[in-house]
Amino acid sequence: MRTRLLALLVAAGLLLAGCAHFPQTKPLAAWSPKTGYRYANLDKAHNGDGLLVILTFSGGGTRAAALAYGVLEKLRTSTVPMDDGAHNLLRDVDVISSVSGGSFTAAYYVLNGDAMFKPGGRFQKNFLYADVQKDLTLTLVNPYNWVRLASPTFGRIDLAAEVYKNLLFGDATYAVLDRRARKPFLMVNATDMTKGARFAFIQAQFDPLCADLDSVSIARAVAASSDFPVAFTPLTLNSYPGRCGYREPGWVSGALKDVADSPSRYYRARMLRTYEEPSRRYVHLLDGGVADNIGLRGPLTAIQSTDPDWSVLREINLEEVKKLVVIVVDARNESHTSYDESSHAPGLVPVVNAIATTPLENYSFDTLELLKDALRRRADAQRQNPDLWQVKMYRIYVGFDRITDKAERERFLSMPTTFHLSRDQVDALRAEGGKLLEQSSCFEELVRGAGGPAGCP
Amino acid sequence: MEDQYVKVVFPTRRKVWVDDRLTGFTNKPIQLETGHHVFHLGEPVDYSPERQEVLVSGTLPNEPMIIEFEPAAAAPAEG
Repeated sequence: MRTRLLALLVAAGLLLAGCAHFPQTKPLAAWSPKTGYRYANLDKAHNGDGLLVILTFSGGGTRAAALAYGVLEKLRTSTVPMDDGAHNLLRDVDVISSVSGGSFTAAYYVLNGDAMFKPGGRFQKNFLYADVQKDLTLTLVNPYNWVRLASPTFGRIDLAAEVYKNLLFGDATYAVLDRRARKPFLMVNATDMTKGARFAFIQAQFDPLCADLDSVSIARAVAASSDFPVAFTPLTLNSYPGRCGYREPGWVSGALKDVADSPSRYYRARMLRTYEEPSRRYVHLLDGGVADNIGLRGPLTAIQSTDPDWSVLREINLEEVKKLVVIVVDARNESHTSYDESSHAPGLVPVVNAIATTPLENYSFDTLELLKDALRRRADAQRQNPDLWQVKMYRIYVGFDRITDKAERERFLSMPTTFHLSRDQVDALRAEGGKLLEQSSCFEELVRGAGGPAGCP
Repeated sequence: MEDQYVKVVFPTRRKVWVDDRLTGFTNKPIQLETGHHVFHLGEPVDYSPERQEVLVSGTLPNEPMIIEFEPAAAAPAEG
């Protein structure tokens, strides 16, 4: 009898597990541009102090998370002179845009603030210095999860999100960030798998889906951002197009006329419209690195265009920005292989790896060049027309190829992309993040209040 | 992406709305992206025309496109 009862309970448990489903995103009851997690809804959204600081954190597993962490540690002890006195750089960060590994650091900081820097604290103990790779593997080999994974609506990425929830983020959702309404504004980036476009976890992105970002857990957003293809399954969000009274932003109808005059603007408008298609009831997401591995595309568009919900250019035109600081933290590595020493053609795995990573790296390089061009064009324009609002711009790059010592540079460039690095490696990355920032001549100009009329764009 | 420059002209300093978002001020150069943009001066609507859609292109920082609004009372009578 007891055996039968036990068998029945096990069967019931397995049946329930087999019906496992990803957590549903709630629909928006009624759309409003004034509610939800948006930059404009944050305290001090309009920069009374004139200092606008944007950080971008790249992908690269724990390597990226640790490098970004080291940069935050350095910013915590740095100040910049403004008209009303010295401003602490970390406290004045306005936006953090992140991808993949960098999203762990970004999200944890925005959620927990300075508690993140506590020696032996949760972030250090459970993530930076932990073997998260092992945690993920153990979750995967748990037989209970095999049954859950048999469900077509529950995948390896949903398991990963549960691991990140337990290790770092708990049950925190975007509702916490929305309620707090404090800077920095968090832009965790994933990739819309079917359209190949960047997908940011901000309410403006969720508006055409008529979905409520407040209902999404931070753990799931970070999981989507670090959803490495093949290793994990795509992460799925519900979409409810046409069910909340959504009105598209004013720029869209004009942009749809711009196919010849402004193709990038046109395609942004087309992309936004695809989320309103009634048949798009789900959005499947992959690692943000597939669309943009340095997390810079969102800020770049904000700097060049008045269209996005968060636009740096609108703030500049409104004469709210005196100093614009963009710090790009790029944990790009270089793979070293011996394939070119042999006449044998590389096999499937290295070919797939090359397809996955090469376009990513080329695109990141182009994005960095586009940022440089955009800021220099603005500096030139300000020189040509002194009536234009004068902004000092600081473009600061933190990346391993700026390390001058060859052996040290190789050491960092050869660190793998994984969720487990040695204590020595993590310590070295933290230290190097701070060192690279400090060594940047543009960072030095920023903290000394020195430099030309346009800063160092 | 190309940068463009406009100056929205009006006798007094007013806020300028571009594509229904507060974007700048009258009589000061405003940087925009190339393309079709809709301009107005917000409330009160005491100006004419009420809105203008313009293809903004081919400008230079020291040669912005001029977009004019007039006080409504000064608008010429029809007919």
